[in-house]
Amino acid sequence: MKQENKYIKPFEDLLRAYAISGQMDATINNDREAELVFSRQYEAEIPKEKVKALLAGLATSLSKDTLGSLITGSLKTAGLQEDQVLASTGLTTSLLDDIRNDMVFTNSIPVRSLLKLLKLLQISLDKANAAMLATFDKLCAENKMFLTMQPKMQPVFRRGKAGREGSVNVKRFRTDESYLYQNKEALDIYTSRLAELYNEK
Amino acid sequence: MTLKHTTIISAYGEDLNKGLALLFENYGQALFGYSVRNWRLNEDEGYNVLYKTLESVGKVLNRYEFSSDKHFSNWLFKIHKNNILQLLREKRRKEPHTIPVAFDQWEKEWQDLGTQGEASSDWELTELINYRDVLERISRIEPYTPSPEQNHLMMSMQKALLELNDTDRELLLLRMNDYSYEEIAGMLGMENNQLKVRFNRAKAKLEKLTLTILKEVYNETRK
Repeated sequence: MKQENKYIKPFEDLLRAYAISGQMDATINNDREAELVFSRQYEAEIPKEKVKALLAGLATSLSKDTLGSLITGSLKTAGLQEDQVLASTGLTTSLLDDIRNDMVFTNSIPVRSLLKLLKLLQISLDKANAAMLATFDKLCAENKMFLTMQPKMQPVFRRGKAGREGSVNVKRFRTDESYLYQNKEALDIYTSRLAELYNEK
Repeated sequence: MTLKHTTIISAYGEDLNKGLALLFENYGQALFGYSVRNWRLNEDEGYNVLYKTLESVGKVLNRYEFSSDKHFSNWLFKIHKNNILQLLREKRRKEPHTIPVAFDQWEKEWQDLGTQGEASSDWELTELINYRDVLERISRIEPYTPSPEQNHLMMSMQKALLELNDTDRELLLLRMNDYSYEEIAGMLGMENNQLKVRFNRAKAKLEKLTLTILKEVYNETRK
């Protein structure tokens, strides 16, 4: 078999690897790039049946309760006054807001306060665990987004989503990606402890 | 006039399915087409990366406000591009693609840069021989797998890129993002007719700068 005599451009291959590393992507004008991408026609399209599957899969994944939506829904159903909740759980107003808006990694919530909240709202441990994981995924996605984007491209939090002071605690956005894994580990430890307390007689 | 993104976000808040359908209808096919056309992803890869983008966006969409449709589409595009680059890095790491690069292949590329780039009269093929030891070293580097050698190479390339002017740097990077010269000309607001020549000149300059920086790095580490 005749071997194909491919023209290799060694330096261009390295330059492409550099471009894929994304290290200097910020020097490309994102505005003009996005404008071009969203205005041109592409030959490749996702077939209709795959679009249906894509949207159905997304709907299933995104309709999962987060801790915030679970607590918000349960508070509404229980019809409790905020003062009562704060007094029974020991949570502060701002922390309860952060929980409702998924603005805080769950393992930063005092475990006994969360336990009291779950018991008060009669939320099962299974439901709470699934919701805590969904919140974790949401915050990780957000962390990654803020870390990889220039400030001018970042959106601002909607009013009411950033706590009562109207500002976001950006301290939780860390530059070290290993932080995400440490947090998964921390979340696992936290949920184990929560389970122990929850199941105590 | 109602903004496109506010319609999507508000629909998303009222009815998840409706919001997702609107998001896809306005941006989905373009993002998919971009991943296939510019990054040569196959249909499954393009599908998976679009799913990842829309899922990340869907998780946080109703938390944010955007100043304009442009702000929203830039944000969406950037998330998608980051996801594509991440997928490519992982893919190439899993399938190491280092192929032995012989010195004559470096020579051929260098020579072509000289002729295609209509380089100045000081363009000498013999210059490349001065970098022979550097080229032999970097020919063995797996450019997608982190290692000290790969790090030296990427850092040198970065320093060299920073020494170019903004237009040349953007031209090189956009070309490596697989945009056509015509598209790049539109993005940079330039005439297309001399862009290929300018690309080759910039690439030649960058190669020389990178090799010079690397040579210095290797000499330093030898001390």
